[in-house]
Amino acid sequence: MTQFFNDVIQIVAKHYPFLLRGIGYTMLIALAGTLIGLLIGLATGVLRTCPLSKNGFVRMLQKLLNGIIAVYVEVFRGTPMMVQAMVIYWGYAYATGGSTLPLIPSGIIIVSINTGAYMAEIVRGGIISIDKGQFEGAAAVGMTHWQTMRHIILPQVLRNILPSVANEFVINIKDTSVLNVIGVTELYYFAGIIKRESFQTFQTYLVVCVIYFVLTFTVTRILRLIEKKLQGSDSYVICGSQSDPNAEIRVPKKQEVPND
Amino acid sequence: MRRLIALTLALLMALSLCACGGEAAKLDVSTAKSIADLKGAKIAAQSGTFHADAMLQIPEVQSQTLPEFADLLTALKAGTIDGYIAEEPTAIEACLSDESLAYLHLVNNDTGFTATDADVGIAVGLKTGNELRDQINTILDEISTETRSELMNQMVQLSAGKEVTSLALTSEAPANPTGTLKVAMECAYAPFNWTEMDTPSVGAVAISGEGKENMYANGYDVQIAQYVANKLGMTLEIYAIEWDGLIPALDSGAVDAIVAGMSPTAEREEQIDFTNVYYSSNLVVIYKK
Repeated sequence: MTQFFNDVIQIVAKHYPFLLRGIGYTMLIALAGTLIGLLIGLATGVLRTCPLSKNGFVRMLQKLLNGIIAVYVEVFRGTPMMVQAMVIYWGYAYATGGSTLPLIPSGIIIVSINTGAYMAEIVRGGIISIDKGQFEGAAAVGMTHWQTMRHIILPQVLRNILPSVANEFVINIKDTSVLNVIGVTELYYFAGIIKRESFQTFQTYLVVCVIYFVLTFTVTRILRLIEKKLQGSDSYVICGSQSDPNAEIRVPKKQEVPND
Repeated sequence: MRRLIALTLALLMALSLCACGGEAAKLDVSTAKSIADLKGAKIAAQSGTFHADAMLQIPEVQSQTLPEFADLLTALKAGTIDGYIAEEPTAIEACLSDESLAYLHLVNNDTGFTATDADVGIAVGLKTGNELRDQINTILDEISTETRSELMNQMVQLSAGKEVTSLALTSEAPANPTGTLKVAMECAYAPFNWTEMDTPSVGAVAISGEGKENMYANGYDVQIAQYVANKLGMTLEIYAIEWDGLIPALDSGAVDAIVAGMSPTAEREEQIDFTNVYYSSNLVVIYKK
């Protein structure tokens, strides 16, 4: 048993610069991929909920665009990211006659495109969950689709989908590990190298397992804090009532909800 | 009553599990003199290699393939297999690094596996029609058999962590390189090619690519690639690519050559060209003492 812990400590002590580099790239790719994916999701969400134009030509363009988005979402949601990585990376090399994309950017591109497909559905869900009356109200005061989205719908959507976005981020931290098939030097890639050098499979992967957990756990806690912040304070005061302008209704702090 | 039934069922399941464990009695492969003696053994090999095809020559073998070579050793140590197939230099290296391992001294086409020279030799892979092939063949043929085995011996020692001061095969780097020779290998198949971190051993070459700083490749393949590049008057660049990505990398033109302990088998010949063989060895079976 002490031998085992010695092995684990040895692995960390000997290879920590590479483990740190792996953590750096894993977090960079996961963060950039999630953010770009969210932007893709927002863009496709706004486009897909846009009412069809009266102009025949624009209407055709809109339908075409909606079709492309639907195909994109279905294809990238319906195939494994590992396969997408191989197809995009080597497909690009075949298409350009041998030049390959630099590894880290291609990792970010692959994760972004994949996450974008999920985000498109998350954002769409977020938009249709907003009460129809708000769209009608915005239309009544003469807002365009873009104005409605920017000033009324998207701020609410963003708050509502934050838990799902956080979920995607955590999934991405773990899923960057599949990028080792094209040689991206993320955490799992270094685990493979350390394993081959030390012949200590279990010990190496145990170290990496703990690192992944610390990463995802920290991220979920931070995002939970942000969520809480956006919710505002639990106890607040409602000032004034119809009969008495000086009335104050105090809403006390609620009991903690279990399983929160 | 229900609780009683559940308890009985649980007990039965636990018992059947124990029975399974008992059945997997270890087959003693250490006394095997030929592959016929391995009848019914649990043997593993790396998938997508000639080893995996050769494995099926063992009578009634309980075969298993794993995508990565290093995982075969893990499976052996965990006791899930009786042995795994490797080339002799790899076996010597593994047994030097780990005293609990040993290997069966099988000889191809005699006590060991039936194989052609192309199956057990390793050659440089080039894109079909590459004009460098004849030049590389001339360079490879100049390396004598003694030098080859001496170099392999040194690489086995080096890979097992022993000290080696000077290499058997050396060449001068060209003063005015005419270009770069991009070479792909796994960097995960000692003693043919492996990865080193931080401190490069004698003759090691830095691995190219983003995020690969302070990583070096060394091994028999690296030395051959370095020699060929120097003799061609080119600078060597080494790319670490997964086994299954090697042929796509070559096909697409991302690299110029594969020097990865790859055998010029008939199936691969259909996709890419191979040079003459630059090393050949016996296929053996590594087992736990």
